[in-house]
Amino acid sequence: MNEIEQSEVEFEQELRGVFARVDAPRGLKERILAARESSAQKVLAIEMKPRRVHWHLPARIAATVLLTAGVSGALVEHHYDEQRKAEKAREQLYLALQITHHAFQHVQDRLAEKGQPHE
Amino acid sequence: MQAELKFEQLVDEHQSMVFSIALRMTGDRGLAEEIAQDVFLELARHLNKIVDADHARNWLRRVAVSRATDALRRRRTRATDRWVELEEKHAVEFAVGDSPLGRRVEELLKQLPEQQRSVLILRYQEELSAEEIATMLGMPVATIKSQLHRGLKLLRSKAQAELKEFVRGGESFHSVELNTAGSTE
Repeated sequence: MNEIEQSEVEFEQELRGVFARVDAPRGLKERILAARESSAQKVLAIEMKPRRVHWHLPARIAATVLLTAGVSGALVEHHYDEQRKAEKAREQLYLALQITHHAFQHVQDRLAEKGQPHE
Repeated sequence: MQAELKFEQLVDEHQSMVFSIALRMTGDRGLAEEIAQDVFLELARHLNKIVDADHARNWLRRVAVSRATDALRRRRTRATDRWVELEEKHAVEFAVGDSPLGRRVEELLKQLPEQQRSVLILRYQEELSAEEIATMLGMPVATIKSQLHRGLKLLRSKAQAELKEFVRGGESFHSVELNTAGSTE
C-alpha cells in the first residue's frame, strides 16, 4: 500500500469515527408514541362521526325536476292548445267551403230550372 | 396489542439511527426531530407490510433519507424568507461531533450535494456497502461508487485545505506568542 492509499484508508477510518450515530433527543420516543396515539384517535373520530346529511343537493335536484316538469307541461299544453285551435280553424274552413258549395249548387239548380244555360 | 408492542420496540431500536440520518442530512436538530417523528408515523401506517427486522431497518433508512431530502428542498424553495435564513444560521452553530475534526466534517458535509451527502452518510454512518446503498436508493452501483469517490475526494480536499489553514494560523499565533514572550524577557 503506497502513501496515498494509506492516507485514504486513514481518512476513511476517521470518517467512520466522526460519523458515529448520535443519541436521539430525550423524550423523542414518547413524543412519537403520543403523536401516533393522537393521529389514531383523529382517524377513529373521523370514522365514528355520523355522516352529515346534506339536504342542499337533494333539494336542488327536486327543485330542478319540478321546474323542468312545470316548464315541459306548460309547453306541451301550449302545443295541444295550438293544435286544437288549428283543428277548429280547419273545421270552420271546411264548413265555410261546404256552405259555399251548397250555395253555388243552389244557384246552379235555379238557373237550370229557368232554362238558362250555365256559364 | 402485538402491533403496538412491535412499533414501540422499533422506535426504541431505531430512533437514534433515523435521527442521526436526518440530522446529518439537514444539520438542524429541530428539523431532524420533526423528520424522525414523521418517519415513524409513516412506519406506523405501513406496519402491516413490514416483514422482518431487516426490512424495518432498511425501510426506515430509505424513508429517513427521502424525508430529509424533501425537507431540504422545501427549505430551499422558501430560502428568501429572512426568518428561514436566521433559522439556518442558527442551525449551522450546531455540531454533532465533539472533536474539532468532527465539527469541521459536519460543516463540510453540508456543502456537498444532497445525494452525495446521503451516500456518504449511508456508507460511513450506517456502514453499508455500495451495493447495499444502490439497492436501497434504487440506483446503479456504478453511480453510487462514483458518488462515494467524488464525495470523499471533495471532503478530503476541503478538510486538507482547512487543516493547512488551521496549521498556518496556529503557527503564526505561536510565533507571535513566542515573540511577545521574548520581548518581555
